[in-house]
Amino acid sequence: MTKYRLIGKQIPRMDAAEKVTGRLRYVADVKLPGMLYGKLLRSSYPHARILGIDTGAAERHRGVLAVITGRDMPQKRHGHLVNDLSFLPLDKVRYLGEPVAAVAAMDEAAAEEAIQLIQVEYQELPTVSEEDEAIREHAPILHEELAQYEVQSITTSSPLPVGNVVPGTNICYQLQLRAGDVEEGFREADRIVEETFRVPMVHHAPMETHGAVADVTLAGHVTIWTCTQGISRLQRWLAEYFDLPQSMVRIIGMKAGGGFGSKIAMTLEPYCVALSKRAGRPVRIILTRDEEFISIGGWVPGTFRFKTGVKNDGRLVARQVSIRWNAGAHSYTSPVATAMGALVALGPYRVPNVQLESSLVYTNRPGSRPWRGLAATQANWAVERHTDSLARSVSMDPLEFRLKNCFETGDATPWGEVLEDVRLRECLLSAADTLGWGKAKGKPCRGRGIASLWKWTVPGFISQALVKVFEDGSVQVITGTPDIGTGSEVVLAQIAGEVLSVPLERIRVYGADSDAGLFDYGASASRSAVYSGNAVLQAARAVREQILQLASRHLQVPLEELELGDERVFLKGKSETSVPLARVLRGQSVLMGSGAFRGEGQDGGHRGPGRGTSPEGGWAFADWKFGAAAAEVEVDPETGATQVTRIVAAHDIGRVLNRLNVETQVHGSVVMGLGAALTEHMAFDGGRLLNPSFMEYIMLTALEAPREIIPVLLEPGTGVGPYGAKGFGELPVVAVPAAVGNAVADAVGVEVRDLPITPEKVLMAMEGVERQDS
Amino acid sequence: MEKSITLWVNGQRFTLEVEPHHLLLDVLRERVGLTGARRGCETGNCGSCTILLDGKAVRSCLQLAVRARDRAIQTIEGLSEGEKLHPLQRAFMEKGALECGYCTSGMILLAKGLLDENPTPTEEEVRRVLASNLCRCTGYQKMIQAILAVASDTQAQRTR
Repeated sequence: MTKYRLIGKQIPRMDAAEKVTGRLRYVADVKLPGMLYGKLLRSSYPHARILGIDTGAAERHRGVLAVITGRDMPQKRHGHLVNDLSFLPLDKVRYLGEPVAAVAAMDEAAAEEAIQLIQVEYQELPTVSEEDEAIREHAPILHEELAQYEVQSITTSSPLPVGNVVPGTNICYQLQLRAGDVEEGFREADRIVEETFRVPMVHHAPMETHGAVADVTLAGHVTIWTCTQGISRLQRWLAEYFDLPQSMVRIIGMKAGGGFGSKIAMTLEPYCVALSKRAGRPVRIILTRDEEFISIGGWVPGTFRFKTGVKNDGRLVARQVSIRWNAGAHSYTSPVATAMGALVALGPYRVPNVQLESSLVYTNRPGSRPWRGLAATQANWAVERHTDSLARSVSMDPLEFRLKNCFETGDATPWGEVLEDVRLRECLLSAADTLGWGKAKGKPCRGRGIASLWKWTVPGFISQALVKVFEDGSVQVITGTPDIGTGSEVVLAQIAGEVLSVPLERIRVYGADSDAGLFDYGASASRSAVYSGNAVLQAARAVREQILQLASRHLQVPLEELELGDERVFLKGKSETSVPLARVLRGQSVLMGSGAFRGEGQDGGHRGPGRGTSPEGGWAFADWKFGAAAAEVEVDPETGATQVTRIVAAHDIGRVLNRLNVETQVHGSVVMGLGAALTEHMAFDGGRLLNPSFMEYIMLTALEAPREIIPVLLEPGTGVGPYGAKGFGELPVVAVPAAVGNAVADAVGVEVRDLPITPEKVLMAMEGVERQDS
Repeated sequence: MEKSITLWVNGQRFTLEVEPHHLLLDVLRERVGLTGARRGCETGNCGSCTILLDGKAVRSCLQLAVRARDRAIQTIEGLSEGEKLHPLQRAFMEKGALECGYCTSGMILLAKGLLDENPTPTEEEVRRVLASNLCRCTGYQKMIQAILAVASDTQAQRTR
């Protein structure tokens, strides 16, 4: 096995000292000379026509320098795939909390007061907030002009079908897939299980709320300080929205206080820009926690209907899945999130006959956003709970049932993609083994559950990198990816340091600034280590080549005989003949190498491109990741409360690049997943969020977190990332709720099919079981 | 109506004009210029704004600035001595007990408040104290390890 100097080690992140001393600056700490404070007036109805807006009193209020409404914004809609979002709508509001006007003032209090002075006349409209209601006949329609909305494809190289809206309805994306003959499959089956699962909205809840600062100059140069997860998309979106040349827009990505998918979309920046233009001063908007809850929403909730046929020997023969996803008022990335979620819902199992139908519908709620893994966790809850029901229907152990059906290398997905290097079996076995599957439980009401997971990263989005080596041998690594807390900076430094044999103290990583010049799709979809990592690897290797060429001239030795190490260039096998790096570099000013990684689905950078065909014409995602979670729980039969005592997360990570980061990502993902499993849900009543605070929206604390969270990381592997690594940041959350749900069923024999698994649901289900027994 | 008050922050004296309703968090961030206490919720639930007031961990978003006058305020910025980090800061760094860093100031100060009172806490005692603040990134595990490591180092030094 190759010995690495830096790769795989436990190395603290680059910004750790700034963070433990409180000196790191987030966007809320940005204060510019003359800066104004912006506030948004939000609708107090979930669905209402706007009859008029009177801003007169607000404009006359003390300290107010700008008041804007939709009349002051570009007359166009924005979107990721379906352009359905008006930043300040003039026709109607579609969710409670939608901004209708904005104010910039000398201080926050003045801005807040001015907002209260704006008069909006509304005509209330019927509201629809549940996904099943939204597709009923005569349901209130959110976007009457859907037929005229511009629809974009996900990416030119994405294998997913282009978004298809259904005008005249609330449907903004549909996906269908058929493989084999599902009716025939059901005829062959010995047992058929039908189940419905419901998943409510779960909030992202980064500890830092959304915020942005904009400064617009008279020359039309726009500078943005923001906590975005992706600077390059934001630059393009903002330029498009305001009809500015992209080159005039500078995005400075501040360190984010967490993102989890909520900070991908362009959110506050357009208001800041419009206010700054009007006032001629920089403007900052920071959301309150209440605003974060009511306007940012959460993951895409949904209802999952399953019907699966199985043979008595445990073989799956047919599966029909119908999913209705709740987009909220605006679709953002939900078409792609739910397309992926729908495929994930088929499960990582061989099923010869499959029929899938997935639709995404508008409702009067804040627009759903991707949430750590797009929509994989929601889909995984449904399919993996269902998998346990199937195992039970043929009296098989859930682990054995999964092992019998799980994908192996060379298997084809229902859309015809042939999978390479599948290690799901290993993940399942190691998770089960580590937990003590099959061993005596030693206590009543203690149960164990297991769940598989699979997910891919959408290919085709580019990451660029530049590596500079200065005359003194110190190194700068420039990318466009912001470090939103994952620790990607230190991983990129480790890669450059590994290739160039330079200690980390002499490497600086930066670049979440569009003026640093590099493009990056962003810190999302477990991309940074793989995409930016590959770009850095390529760039560092290019500089290394230049260094060796210089040294070859210097030492009069052929390049192939030279090696880099300990900031010296030496003769291979003869470390005593060496020259310091600094001497080789003297007089060179700076050496630069560049790199880029796009991860094309079909024939580009990915190692295992899909080769199959499907009825829809050959989708292939290639960058598949597999894993399993196994949980042990104790259920209190008196209260119905579930305590998760131990949980194992097993993953085919390919290569651990930084062990500290990976372990923390596992711990954090597991606790986040347990929140979704046990307590977290946004409760809506007719479009009104009932629990918009940390007082009522309950996240797990250190007390409820399990005492044992055990990562099992399978290496080495054949991921598409540097040193065989696979993207990882989102993965360990995906199977957590299902593993816990399965464990609760094992502990007390009741089925909870709707998240979260509250004590109330468990108790009610237990009473139901008792009634049946008596 | 503004009032002139004296605040002792990290051992330094500040004389400021504040309104009676001004929150200590805002005064520290906007007037004293110390932004290490973060605003996470303003309802006292998340604890990102935790500071030490007379050695006790409190939420600065629930304190009026005028009520803090003439009392000892310690923020995360006052924990290190120049470039020398406090053992808790070093442990959080080295053990990887942080991700985005937004809750870190509050968590470290909670831990300081705990260790000053009880230098040898059990894991459960540490968990109980940390449970007053929220972290969305780390799952708390490495924070707990870091705090316990500092506690056992301190004890080892004492017995030596």
